[in-house]
Amino acid sequence: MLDKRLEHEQAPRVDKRLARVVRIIVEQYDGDVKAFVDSIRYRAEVNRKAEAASDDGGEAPLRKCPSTTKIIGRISSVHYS
Amino acid sequence: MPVHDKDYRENFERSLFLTGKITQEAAYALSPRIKELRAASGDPITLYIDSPGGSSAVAEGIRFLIKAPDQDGRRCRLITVVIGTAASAAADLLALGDYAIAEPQADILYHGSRQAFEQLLTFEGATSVAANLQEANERLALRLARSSFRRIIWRVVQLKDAIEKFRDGPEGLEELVEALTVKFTPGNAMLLREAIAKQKSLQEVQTAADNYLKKRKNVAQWPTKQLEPELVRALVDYRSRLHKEDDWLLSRTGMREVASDFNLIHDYASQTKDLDAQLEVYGSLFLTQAQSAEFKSKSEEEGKVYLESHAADKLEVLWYFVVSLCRLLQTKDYRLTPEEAYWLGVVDEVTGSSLQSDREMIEMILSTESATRKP
Repeated sequence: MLDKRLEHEQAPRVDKRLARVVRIIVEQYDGDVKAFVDSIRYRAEVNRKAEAASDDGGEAPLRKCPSTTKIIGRISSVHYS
Repeated sequence: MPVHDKDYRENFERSLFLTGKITQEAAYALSPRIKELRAASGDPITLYIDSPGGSSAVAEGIRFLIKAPDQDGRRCRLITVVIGTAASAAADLLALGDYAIAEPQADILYHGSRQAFEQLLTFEGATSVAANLQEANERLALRLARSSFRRIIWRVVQLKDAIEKFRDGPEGLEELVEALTVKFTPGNAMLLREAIAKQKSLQEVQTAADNYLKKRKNVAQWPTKQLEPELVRALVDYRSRLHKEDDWLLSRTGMREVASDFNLIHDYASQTKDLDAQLEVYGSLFLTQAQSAEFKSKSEEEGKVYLESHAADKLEVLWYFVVSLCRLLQTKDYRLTPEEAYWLGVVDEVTGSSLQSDREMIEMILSTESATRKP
């Protein structure tokens, strides 16, 4: 039968951080994982540009990240227009 | 500023290199460094892998040593990174990392357990070796399935149309897997199709056994000692009906088939604890839109019950599929590209690729929260 150690080995721990990710996807993105990933990538890009602008000493108009709803709106308009 | 989560990042400062064949000597050489890293802190340990494989038992020993609790019960997380080749036992070790990373040039090769011999084998010796190898394959397949399951969940929920159908019911699994096959070369896509066939036959055995046992009174309260012989009877009944047109006898291949069915059901069922935990976390990803709306209005306790009745069956067939897949991985040679390893749930991340990863999702949420907290 199975190696005894398998039975004694801890089951893979449930990662609370991933549980939070799932909650966000279900609650804010209706379970659409792709929309969530597109959104976080868009957000990361916006933040990266804002930081680059701030490093250049110029204005940083994009410093404030838009809300999730706005991001989804922008993605949708790109995808479906 | 982007936030890095050390649980999902390779860390050269706390790393080990497993290169070349996995032998007892290689393990001896790594042991002091493993102990040193564990003593220094409970932070994750990164294991870089470039190995053609070797002894599965030694590979397991290395993994157990890295993950063993210290005197305070503290365990280090294991991050595995394939930097060249991960074949055989090294491929298993890669997949069993708490977070597994493949570099784009990596080569990942799976095959079943093998044993080399220097002396001639007797019939008894060969039988015992075959049984040991089968046991080793099954053990590894289950371990692999346990670590791949979460990853495969994240893969299938990306398959937009097919996941919608699967959310409607577990019978959508075949379509879901078919959608997954496009990510693979034709040879490796066959592996997925064979796994579906295997999963179906397992479900048939299980359903037949369930139907037989349902006719018994209070079977749920029976002690294992009483239940197991009845399960054997159920399986004999199932196999006899299946072969009613054939010249099938228990004394020929029949007993072996029944024993194999019995072990299969026993092994799969022994993993249901894992399934409960995964259901709590990932179950809501398998609800239809209407179910999801209903689920959101539930309290935490009600939510658990809701997932049990609306998502458990889907997760269960997916689990059977993953175990079937991992069993097949141990039977023939399968060479995987990093991307294929990602879609198969062997690794979590392929560096430099656009494939989504747990790290990306978690770090972005942490970054957003950290930006929100700033004045």
